[in-house]
Amino acid sequence: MPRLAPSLFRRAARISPRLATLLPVCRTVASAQAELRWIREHVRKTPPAPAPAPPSKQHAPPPFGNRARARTRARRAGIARVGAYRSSAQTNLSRSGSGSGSGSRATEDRIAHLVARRGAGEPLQYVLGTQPFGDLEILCEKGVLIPRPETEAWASMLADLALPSPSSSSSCSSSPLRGRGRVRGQTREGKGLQLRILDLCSGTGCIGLSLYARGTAPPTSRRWGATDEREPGMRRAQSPVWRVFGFDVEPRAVRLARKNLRHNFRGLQRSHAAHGRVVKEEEGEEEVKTRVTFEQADIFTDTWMTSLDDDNDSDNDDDDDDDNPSSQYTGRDEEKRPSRRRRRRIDILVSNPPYISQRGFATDTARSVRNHEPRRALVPSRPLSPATCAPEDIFYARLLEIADTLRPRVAAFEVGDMAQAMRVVEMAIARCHRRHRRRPEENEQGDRDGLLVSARWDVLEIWRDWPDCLPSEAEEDVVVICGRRVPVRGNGHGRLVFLSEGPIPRNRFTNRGFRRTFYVE
Amino acid sequence: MLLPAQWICRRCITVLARPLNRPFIRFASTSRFVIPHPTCVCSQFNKPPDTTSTLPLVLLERARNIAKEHDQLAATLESDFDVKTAKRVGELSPVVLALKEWDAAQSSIAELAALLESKDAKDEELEQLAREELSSTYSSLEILATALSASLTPRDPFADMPCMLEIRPGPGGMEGRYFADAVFRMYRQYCARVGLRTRVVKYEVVDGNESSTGANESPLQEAVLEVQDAGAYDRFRGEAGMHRVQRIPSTERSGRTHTSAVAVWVLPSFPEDNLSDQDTNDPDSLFYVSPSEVREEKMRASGAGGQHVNKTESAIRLTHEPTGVTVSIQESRSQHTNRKLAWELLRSRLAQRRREEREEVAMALRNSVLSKDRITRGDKIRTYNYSQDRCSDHRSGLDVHNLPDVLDGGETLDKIMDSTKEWLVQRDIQALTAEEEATAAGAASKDAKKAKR
Repeated sequence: MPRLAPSLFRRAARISPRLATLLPVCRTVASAQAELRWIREHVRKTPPAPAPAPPSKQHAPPPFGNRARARTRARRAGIARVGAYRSSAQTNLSRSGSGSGSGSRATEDRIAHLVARRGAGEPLQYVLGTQPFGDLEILCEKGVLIPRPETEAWASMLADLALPSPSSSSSCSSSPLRGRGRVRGQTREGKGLQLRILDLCSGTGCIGLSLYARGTAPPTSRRWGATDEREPGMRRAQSPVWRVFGFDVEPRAVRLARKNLRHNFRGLQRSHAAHGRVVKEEEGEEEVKTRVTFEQADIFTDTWMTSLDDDNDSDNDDDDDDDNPSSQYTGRDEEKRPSRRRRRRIDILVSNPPYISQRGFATDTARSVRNHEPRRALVPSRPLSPATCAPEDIFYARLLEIADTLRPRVAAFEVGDMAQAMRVVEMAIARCHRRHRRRPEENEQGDRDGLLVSARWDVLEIWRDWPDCLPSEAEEDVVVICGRRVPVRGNGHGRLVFLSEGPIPRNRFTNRGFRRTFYVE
Repeated sequence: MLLPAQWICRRCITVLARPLNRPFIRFASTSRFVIPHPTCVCSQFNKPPDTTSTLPLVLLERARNIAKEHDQLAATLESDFDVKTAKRVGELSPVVLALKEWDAAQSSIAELAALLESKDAKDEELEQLAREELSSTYSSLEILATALSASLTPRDPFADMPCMLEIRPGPGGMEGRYFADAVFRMYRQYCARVGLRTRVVKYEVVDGNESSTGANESPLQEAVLEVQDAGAYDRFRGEAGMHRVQRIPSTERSGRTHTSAVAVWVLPSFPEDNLSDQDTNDPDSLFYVSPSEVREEKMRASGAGGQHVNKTESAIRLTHEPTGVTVSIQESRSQHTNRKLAWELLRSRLAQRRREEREEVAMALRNSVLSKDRITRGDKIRTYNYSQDRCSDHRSGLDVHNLPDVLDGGETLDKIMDSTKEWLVQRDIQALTAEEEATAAGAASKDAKKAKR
């Protein structure tokens, strides 16, 4: 990282001495100003903690050598002196919020304390304790990975593309989940219809929670409230019961995810009542707690797999027959009925596993990530048993294995870059072949029906950082992997592998992120 | 009965009576479209010399036509209800109401005049009473005439909407930036005082020196303040233009007065939960923005991104490619919120722009008539002079003192804004009259040609 010019520090200090403290981590005055504003807003909004912990103990030692540290300290002291003769009337930055309220000494002290922590390199999300994620506010704590904006982007896109939207009836009716939901809803008179999401390596729980929030959100606010009241029966029949299962190996993450669940779905009962939303049971906080669960588990163990089976079986005893293929596939999928497919236990599998290589961790990661975020959530540390893939890809091998067992309709795995995305897609394609070869009876049946046997994943896509944006001129929108043309959405780095069984969901987001109409109607 | 204050009256008279009388006389004699109403004629004859009828006949004619249409529509509404018709009736009814009142005043004048003329009544007391009544009716007639013409002016399509105030420094260096901050604060405090809900959509300060004045101003790059109450657009639309400041900047050593300017743009804002006819998804709406025409840019990770880095930057930039309008927002920590804000702002800017384009033809006509009154974005509309403690509006010509109260959004600002609004109404009336006359003249010339043949 290039050294910052002293003039920059002087300029920042002229605006506010706090800016100069933030400058080493923020690198530019503009972003330092933004962070200072957010810190001020945070302090203004939250009541003061009873006893603020001493700052120095909490953060890791700065990654400079002794001399460098001394120099920084001296520089900071100098800046403080520069700032000292300017009165503390630096309230103008806080004016953008409502009211200044920064008069009191205690408030200024708290701001100074937080700024010092941030200036020492701690991530802002740990300093403030939160990170916005979609419409949610995710709590962040040390020891749990902070949700990234890229994750937010793909989670939102995934929700747009693959979730049956509760609000619209026409635009999403072509989504496979939706179609399936209706079929099941009709056959079962609206009972026992479930939509299951499995979030592995859930961390803060942000992905699972945001998908749940998107799926069960009251239909676009008050505007259509009247419509809701008019047709409660229809809505009841169509809205599936959402289930989210989150698993993480880290107990702290599981605790935090549960906390996030409580934090974000506190006022649910009231708001649903207000919108006249109809769910069979009262969907209050308690209800959400039973719908969304976070458990501590190591997904590499077989005991976990079997426990998951038990869990799901006990959970859906009442609609076992519903899950069996003969009742599940109708209409479009009818021709597949004879094939003895295994039961589909979940609908969507999402995961943001650790994916950074040992080397990448040392060279590519930002300092605040290296020093403050849990290594366990970043670098896969499991010893690989069969040397079939790169060490940073072992989670994907396991995830694909799990996908084979649980047979989700849609799977989405976050990856580190384009190369890794291509490797994962390759693994997904290869795995299908092997599975079919291993299972001659299925192959045979497939042949007998004259159906294609090769790929279990009908759609394989790679999404870049911002999947809903148009790719730039230099970015290809197709890559060829194992002779298959794999569409690439959006711009930025390769960020997600999207797998879907059955055709791509059709709605207005189907062709988002491509320069051309990729999927013709 | 409470008489309206004399000075209001005189003002109306002076403003209204000035340019409009002569054309009225000409058209009354030539145009076949203008059929003088009996009461109107009567009032002309019985007029005291100092008050002339302030309502041009073209406008009156138009009002009568509208009243006719209103009655017809109301009749059809009784037989079968139609939302569109009902809406149209609702639009027309203020005109009809104003016309009725005006007519009533006219007829009462006629009665009173008749009473006075017939010298049978020897009762002096009665005569006195009648005279008083007559003069008061005359004065109220002026107000009614103004109200009628105001109701005839086309209502601004955005009038009922919330608005966004965009404040940008004009040329003038740092001083303009500091004053932009003062203007921003003025509007915010004004809204707080009046009780309008506001939201800061954007507040960007440039790097640079802290203002060393006691005023605590920071150098503003651009600020957008959303006023979320319905009808805010109507309230603030007169504020759009260049605001000029004359003061001695804090940085000035030798005490010279600098002049710089701040641009204020007023954009209609699309309310989130509204049921108005402006639907963002309707391609005919001014607010419709096709997502395919908008390029969205987020902060580009220079490194590997994802888990590798932990950036807090959440800036969003939207570019509307056909017009090149760009919006960038980095107000909130949440990219999601920033995107929402950016889309709202983009919609507002485009809507304003499209409307200007749409109205260009009408504007051309008006401008040819009222070229001296034309305001464009480039013209200064108001001057804040610190050394004279004065704020003057160049359109209404109002000068007020107590500048600190103006800049605090106090009641003095109310005065200025009211005067501006009044000026806007008068301008609309003039434009309307000009248009009506133009169409009437066009029709008359056609008529004349036909007659020649």
